[in-house]
Amino acid sequence: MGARNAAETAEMLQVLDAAVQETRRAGREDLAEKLTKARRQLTSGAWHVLVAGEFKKGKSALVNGLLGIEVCGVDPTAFSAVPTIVRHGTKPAAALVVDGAERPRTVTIDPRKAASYALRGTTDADEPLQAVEVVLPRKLLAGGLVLMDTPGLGGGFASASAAATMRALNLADGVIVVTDASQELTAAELDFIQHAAQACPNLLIAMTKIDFYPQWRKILDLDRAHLADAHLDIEIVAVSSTLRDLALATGDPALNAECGFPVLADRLNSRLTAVHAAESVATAADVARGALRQVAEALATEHAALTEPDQRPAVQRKVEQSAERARQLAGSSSRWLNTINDRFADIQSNLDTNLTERLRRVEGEATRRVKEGDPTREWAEIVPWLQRRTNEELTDAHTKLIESIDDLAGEIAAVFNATASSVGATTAGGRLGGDVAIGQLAGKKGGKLEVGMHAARGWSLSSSVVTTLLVTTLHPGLLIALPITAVLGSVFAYKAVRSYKTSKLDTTRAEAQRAVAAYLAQARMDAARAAQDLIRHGRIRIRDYYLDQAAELVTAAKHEQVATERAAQADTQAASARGAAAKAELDRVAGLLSTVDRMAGAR
Amino acid sequence: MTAPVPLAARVRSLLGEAARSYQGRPAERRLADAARWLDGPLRVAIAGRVKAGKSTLLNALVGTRVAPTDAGECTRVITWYGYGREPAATAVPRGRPPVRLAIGDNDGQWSFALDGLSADEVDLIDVRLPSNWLATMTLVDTPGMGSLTESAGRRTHDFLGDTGSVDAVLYLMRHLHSSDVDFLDAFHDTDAAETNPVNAIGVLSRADEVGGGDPQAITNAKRVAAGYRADPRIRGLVHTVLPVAGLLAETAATITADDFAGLAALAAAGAPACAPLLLSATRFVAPYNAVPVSPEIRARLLGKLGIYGIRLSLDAIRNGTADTAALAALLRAHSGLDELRGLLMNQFAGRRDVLKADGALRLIDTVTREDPIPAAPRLRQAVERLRVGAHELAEIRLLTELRVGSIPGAPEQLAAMEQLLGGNGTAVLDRLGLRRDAPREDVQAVLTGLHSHWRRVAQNRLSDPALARAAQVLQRTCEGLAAASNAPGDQRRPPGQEVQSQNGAGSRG
Repeated sequence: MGARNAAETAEMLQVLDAAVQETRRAGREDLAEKLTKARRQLTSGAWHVLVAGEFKKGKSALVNGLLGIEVCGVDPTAFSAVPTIVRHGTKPAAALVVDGAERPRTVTIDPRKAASYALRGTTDADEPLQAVEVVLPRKLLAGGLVLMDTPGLGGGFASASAAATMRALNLADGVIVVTDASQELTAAELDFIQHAAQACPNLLIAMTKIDFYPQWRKILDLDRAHLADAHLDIEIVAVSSTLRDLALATGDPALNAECGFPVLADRLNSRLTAVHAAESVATAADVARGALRQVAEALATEHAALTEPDQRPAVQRKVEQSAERARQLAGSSSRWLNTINDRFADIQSNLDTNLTERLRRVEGEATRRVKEGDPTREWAEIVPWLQRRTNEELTDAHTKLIESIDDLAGEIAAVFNATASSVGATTAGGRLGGDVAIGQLAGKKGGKLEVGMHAARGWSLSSSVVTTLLVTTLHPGLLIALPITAVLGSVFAYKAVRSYKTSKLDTTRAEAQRAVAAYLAQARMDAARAAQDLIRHGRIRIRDYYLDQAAELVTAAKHEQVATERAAQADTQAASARGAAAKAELDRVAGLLSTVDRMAGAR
Repeated sequence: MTAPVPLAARVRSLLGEAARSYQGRPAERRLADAARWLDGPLRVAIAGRVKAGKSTLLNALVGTRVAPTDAGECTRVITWYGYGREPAATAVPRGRPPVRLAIGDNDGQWSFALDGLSADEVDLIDVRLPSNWLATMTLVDTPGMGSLTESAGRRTHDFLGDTGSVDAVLYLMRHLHSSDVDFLDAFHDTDAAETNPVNAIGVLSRADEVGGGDPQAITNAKRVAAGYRADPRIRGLVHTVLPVAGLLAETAATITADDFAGLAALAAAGAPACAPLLLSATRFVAPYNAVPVSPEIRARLLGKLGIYGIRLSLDAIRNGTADTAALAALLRAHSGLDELRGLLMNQFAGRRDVLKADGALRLIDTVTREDPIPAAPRLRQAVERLRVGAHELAEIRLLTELRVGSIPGAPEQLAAMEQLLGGNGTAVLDRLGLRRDAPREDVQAVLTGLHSHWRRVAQNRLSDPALARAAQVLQRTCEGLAAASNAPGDQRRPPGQEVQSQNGAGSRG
């Protein structure tokens, strides 16, 4: 699987290089630049792997073990307070992401101190942190892997921070769930794994501390059986971070083999990388296809204008028309731009209603439980139940939000392409004759309509818009809220609800209700804030994407115009020479295009 | 100021009256059982999440590896361990007569197995052993909560939720974050268990595993436990939290001369020879010729001690620990078991009568609410009268109120109140914060001072009503302590709270 991916990636890189040359030759520096970017994305595009699990399972030590350096804070008794996000860079660097009022700001720190800040969770001035970001020149990260160590959950899907973790998982490319060899998977752990696998199917389990627990093989078998019982096909890799440290310190290959990290790194590469690479190749294929088609269209138009002089006025007219439409698309009053504005406003208001309705439902259920029972006796059961219900609703709301942004992206693509299709009307219909490959292509795909559509679908059909487009600006690691939402277990709420029979049942019920309301308000605020970010970034990214597309179409139309004009002025001899050259170029581009199509189809 | 009739006697007669009122109804048996248990040893349940080390701790307390333990989840049936002259075990299958189980006796190491019975069909197992500790308190091992095989944990939930099923509870928990949804749950498996800071103790179990193999594990565990103790939510739930390394404690009680010989041979082979073995559990049991101890023996030692215990033992032997007994003592000292035992004696056994009386009254309360026969209101009134009249009960209620923070006051003042109520030990000298050898005059002087202090607080019209009520209770406590310390043959304990040596005759239904 890994080898096949490597071969595919290598082939795609060749195609991209050739495509860069063709676009340059055609004078499309803008496309060449875009292709170069796609090439960079393919070799080192960021892909995010979240490391999640219960407290004190060894998540931070695992990340340190993978990187071979202490980046994440590890302490026998203290807990990681905030996520640590580690990415590749040529020089080590680190920054604190401080939870600001409007948007987070960053403070540069000594990378060697990153670990202590992650444990502390605050700046030197005691401001709460959102995350610690570290840049390291590590080979493991050179392919774009971004590792994110997260604070422990504290009760799986019923924990206070589970909804935030699920939001992050929705954006992540992969997840390593960490458990340890001290005991078999608990109900809470398995429950979390089930939910996590839904949010992010690219999931691995690491079982840590195998150096310390003699019975780890038995625990491993039990865990595998539990996964099988739950119909989960997930691999468990047994590791020891302690042995890994020793192996790195001594260079002992036997120790390194025993620690399990080579296997874990291999799985990261083969299993996690495979999925990522396949997606990146597809994205690169879309970019290459879009660029090559534009070049092919221009060449085909030029070829037609050169070799069929009687058609020249018609071709010229249509080229002018499409240039006009392209300008319309790029203009500020275009329909697709208005659609984006209107529909995002809809999404925003739907989200508000949706969150309100969902949490009101949960509050109703909680009120019934509190009223029908005795909260002093049942509080310890109500808290996890309430958090789990809230997590369910919020996770579902978040998934729906991503879906609606996805749908919207599809809609924008349709609106955009409805206009764009008439831009490409010039060459639609394959009038170039059977001996030119572009004719088949045009006949099959319908010219620029398809180019535009495909480019748009290319990402609206990939797992989700959000994962491909948003992650670059909206970091999954930053979505993990601090467990401040643990209001229900706070000293205040707890004491108020469970004061020892001094107060009447009515009073404790009222206290319980108040605690529930406060918790839901907090949960709603967190969810709304995350959704707001998602909507804002989604809107910007989708708009920018199509503005770029429109600008490309304008440039493409301009090039076609210039080519047809040049054709009109050329004498017969020059026309036939240029016509032959254009056809040769067209053949090469068509060849590249069919390679791209084959690769896209092979998936 | 001792009441004319001891509390236990009054509770017994009330239980009898209640049992008569409920004659022929389901509650009759529960009430009769409670009356029988009033004289029996204290019943202490060992509860906690799955794999918290409950069975291991039980073995450590009993001093033998009797409760089966395993790497996977193990205890599936609620098992009672009581005192008996001869070892015996009985399984009680649902709807069938009890079945006698064979007891294996391997040089004082007892074991039993549910031969032919499935855990699901057995309601409980009753084990009797000639253990001194069991003469003081009956222990109940429970299946853990939070298992993927949830049915077993459910039983514990129902069992602890059943009013009056036990007198006190030890809650075992592993190292958890305070925001963990299990965190508070760990200190009261179910709120219905009605445990309180008087009859519940938290144990940070598997203390040798804190930090996953850290050489300072036990020290770290002490720090973690201290952090838990300081959490106001936990103060309202359990008396205190102690770290215990159950495996070390269990092995301290069961280590053999062969085990010691194996460890001594390893130690003698020298630290450099042992170092590769100690890197990981897998290496420790792998074939290795540089030490004169076979992999089989090493596997046995590892099972008994864990990596932490092995490292600790080898260091100790190299530093002069010369024989099995000395090593056992060292392991026990490290395990924290002695502290737990002391606390159990002081906190639970020292309050046996009060805890039992309190439980019995709660049972009558519950029964009269669940099955409100015409006599129910009268019984409930009698319970209330008894509660108001019994100073011992007022004391433990006040202790609980102090813990849940419903009495206003400065922290030092609250701490002083708790000490006087027996929070640091129920003996007179402990309550007064005096040394064991304090002369009688000092005791009198301190008592007089405290008495007049609390009387002033109680009579001060400006005192908060809750504080004034508390002060009244404390004033009476001082009077009781004065009477006790003046009594002939000074036991320096308040009346009715002597630890009685039980013969374990209190049989259960």
